[in-house]
Amino acid sequence: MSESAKSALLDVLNGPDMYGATLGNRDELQLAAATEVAAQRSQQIAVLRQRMADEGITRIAALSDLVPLLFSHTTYKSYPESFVRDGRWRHLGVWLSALSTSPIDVEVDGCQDVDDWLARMHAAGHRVIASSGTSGKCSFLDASPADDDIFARNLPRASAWTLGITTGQNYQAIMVGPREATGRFARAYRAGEQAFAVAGEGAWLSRDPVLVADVNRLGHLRKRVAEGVATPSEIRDAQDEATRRQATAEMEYQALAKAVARVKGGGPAYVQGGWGRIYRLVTTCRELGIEAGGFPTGSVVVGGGGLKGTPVPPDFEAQIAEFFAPAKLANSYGMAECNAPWAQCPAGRFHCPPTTVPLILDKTATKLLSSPGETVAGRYACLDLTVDGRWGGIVSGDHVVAHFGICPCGLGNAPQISSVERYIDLPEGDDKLSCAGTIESYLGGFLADVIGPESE
Amino acid sequence: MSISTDQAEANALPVRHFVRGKLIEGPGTQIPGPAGRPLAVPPLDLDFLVWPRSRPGPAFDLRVEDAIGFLVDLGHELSLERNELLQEVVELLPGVSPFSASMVKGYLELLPGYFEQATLETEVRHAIGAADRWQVYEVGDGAPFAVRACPARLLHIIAGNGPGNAAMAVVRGTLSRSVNLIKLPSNDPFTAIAILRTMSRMAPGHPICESFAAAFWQGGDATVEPVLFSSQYFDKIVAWGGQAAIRNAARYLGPGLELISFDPKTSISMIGRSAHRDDLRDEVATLAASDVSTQLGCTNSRVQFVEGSVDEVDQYCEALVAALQKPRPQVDPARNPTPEAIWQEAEVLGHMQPLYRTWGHHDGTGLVIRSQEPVDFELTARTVNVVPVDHLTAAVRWINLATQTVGIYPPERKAELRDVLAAAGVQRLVPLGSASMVDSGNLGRPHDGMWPLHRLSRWVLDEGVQQ
Repeated sequence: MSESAKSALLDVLNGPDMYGATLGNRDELQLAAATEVAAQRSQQIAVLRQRMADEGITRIAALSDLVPLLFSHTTYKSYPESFVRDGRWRHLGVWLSALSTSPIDVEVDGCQDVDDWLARMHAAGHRVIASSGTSGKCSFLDASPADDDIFARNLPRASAWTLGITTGQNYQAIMVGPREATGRFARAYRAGEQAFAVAGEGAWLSRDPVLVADVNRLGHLRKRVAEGVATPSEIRDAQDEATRRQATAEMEYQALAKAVARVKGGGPAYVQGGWGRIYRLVTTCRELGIEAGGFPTGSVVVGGGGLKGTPVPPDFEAQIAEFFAPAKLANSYGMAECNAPWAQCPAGRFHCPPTTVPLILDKTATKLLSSPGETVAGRYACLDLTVDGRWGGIVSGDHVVAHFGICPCGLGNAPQISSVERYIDLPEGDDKLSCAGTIESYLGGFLADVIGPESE
Repeated sequence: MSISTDQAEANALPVRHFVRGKLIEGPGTQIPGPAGRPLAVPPLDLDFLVWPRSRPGPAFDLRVEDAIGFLVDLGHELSLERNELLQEVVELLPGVSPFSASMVKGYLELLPGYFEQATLETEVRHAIGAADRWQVYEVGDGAPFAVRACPARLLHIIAGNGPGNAAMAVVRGTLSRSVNLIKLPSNDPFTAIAILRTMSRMAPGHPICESFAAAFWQGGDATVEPVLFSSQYFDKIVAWGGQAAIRNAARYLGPGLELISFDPKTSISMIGRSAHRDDLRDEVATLAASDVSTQLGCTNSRVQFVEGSVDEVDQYCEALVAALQKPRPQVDPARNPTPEAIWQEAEVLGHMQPLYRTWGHHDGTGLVIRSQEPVDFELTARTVNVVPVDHLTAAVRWINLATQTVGIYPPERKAELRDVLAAAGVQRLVPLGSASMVDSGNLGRPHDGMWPLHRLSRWVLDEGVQQ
């Protein structure tokens, strides 16, 4: 069954009903495809090969064999920050190649900065995904053109499935985010614009590129503060820069709010962005006196992502729905490390794409809890069989409730997720006190006080 | 559904408060614990946790030699073998911390060392001299004046990453004869209670017993802290670690309420070229491994700067990982495996030879990462970062305010390094292998760049006294 297993699942993904299909042999197909993919990737990826040797795993005989082979998001930011800071691009390439399925042979002579490096990687067929963390250090995930293609194609398809619509350039699009950024979310927005916007053109929150170097600048400042060499004027400049950015963002939201007012008169609207940003847009609209409701019939709001850096009330989704009424809302569950997202069904649950092997683990990510027919709560991990440029096995920081039976919506037999929380947000006895700590704990508060919270 | 299934199965651990000789226990509110098992916290009556300013504290007039005597007697009662209250801590503490029962035992067996007469006398002599009573001074031809280290009103926010922290708070609170409210941490709400109960059983109604209360509330509780963290009740908040706790406490500071902060720190080692002699390498590695300990505390070494070539340092790393893997008391690898976030980073670095190299395993027995400069991530669970340097002074650029202890080999090198290290932020130099302070805390010596007992006191001046 080996070669056919992954392609059979890919056929379902590419078919008409990837989230609602009933697959009689889903579990067998997924295990067979996992076996096949792991065998292939272990030939290509040095870190995976070593991990399998260390764990004494020669082939995937059961899903539990995947658990010790999963990578975490820290794997993809394990490069020393100095490589980027000091422009040691060759070293950064050596680092990335240990995690990539194809060799990295990219000319880096004269490379100016990290954005230049990313552009060169991109031109050489490595569609490296750079995503910013709260720490100011980016993760770099190698991705092939195939990864980019699957990702860009499937997010609009997931929203369409949830909303019961078809893709097609029929909407007045409001894109609540920057058009040009290296994070995967920006790629998703552009894919949404292409799939739904009239003439493939929407109104954007910003068309100025968001550079990785901007994210890194704060990282450099942190380092300089830690080393005790940052001057007061340097810190004040960073503070001024943060104030400027906030003012610019405010103007951008106001401009986009005016675009929102304009779409009320035309054809159906398509609003896409992170939930936190969409909520901020709604707030700005209200401040400008734009009335809630009255949007064209057939309008939709496609949200996603976390609420990073944006304070929102608990009922933010209801408030967004009320403002954009009668628009329907679509939600999905995904992460930068995976290609196809989980799509929300009429029962409110997220359905697993056929090419994702979900693994629900204990909190420490060492034990597989999930098995067929059960409902189980734990840490979300998966093997995304479609991931092509690197290993698709990843552990998330999310605590989910997953269901491995038939969904109440009655559509197909995909596993579902009904609740997602980040472990970092769960109550865990936060006053566990220790006398141990590094200079980082001194800087976090200082820089937050001076510059404000870091955001995406 | 907000907690994972692996937590929900566990039973709640009983938390108690102990206020001026009275134990407050019973069914309470369940809250999530720090290590999976929930805590059951009995209700708290804030009125019992404060001493009115209208009256002096119960022990304000006690002589310091009597306080010392009291502590020495208490030390005798704190023998783990005979004290069932401490024996209960051995059972309870593993439910909230990374310590196994045998590790807890190891720590508790050291407690009497904090209560030895000579140590306590040294602490008093250095920090306040004879000023527990009025001392008369003359400056030049001026009129004589008297000074006294007066007791104060202290709110201790103690750390839970070692039972010694509770003992230190009790010892210093007693020596200062102050009134003391101890805010218990969720990772050890038990040891301080056991010590205070022992105290109260030994001398019921004693002014010192009347001067202590220990209570648990969740750090940042808005129904407790804005009320208690006030100059109405306390002079000084003494924060024994925890950056969130320190930042939180700092919000309440103002006239009449100051913060004494034992900032969170980590420690390092500096190892000279002579360690590479074939007859010394293993011995040096053993000393260095001893300073790594559990890596749960501030004195535990995380980064070792080693003089020599990469080849020499790699040989040293091999010896170090072998030394780490040897079993030692107070270290239980099974309780403390390397967190995934750390070893997954180390794993990738291991593929970048010769820039990086790793030795050992992530099961808690010891993992060594050799790199050209210190790694970016936090090191815990016996994960040691070894950085080769041409000369030990080259390591100074990575030393900062958060660097507490530096273990140095050979110890003779301390003399050439101590001023430059002190200027960079270091507060304690020791011979390699002596970083742990478990024998007597650090009583009788400066701590965090200060004499804590000196700062716990209120220095009151009486001018124009008669000789």
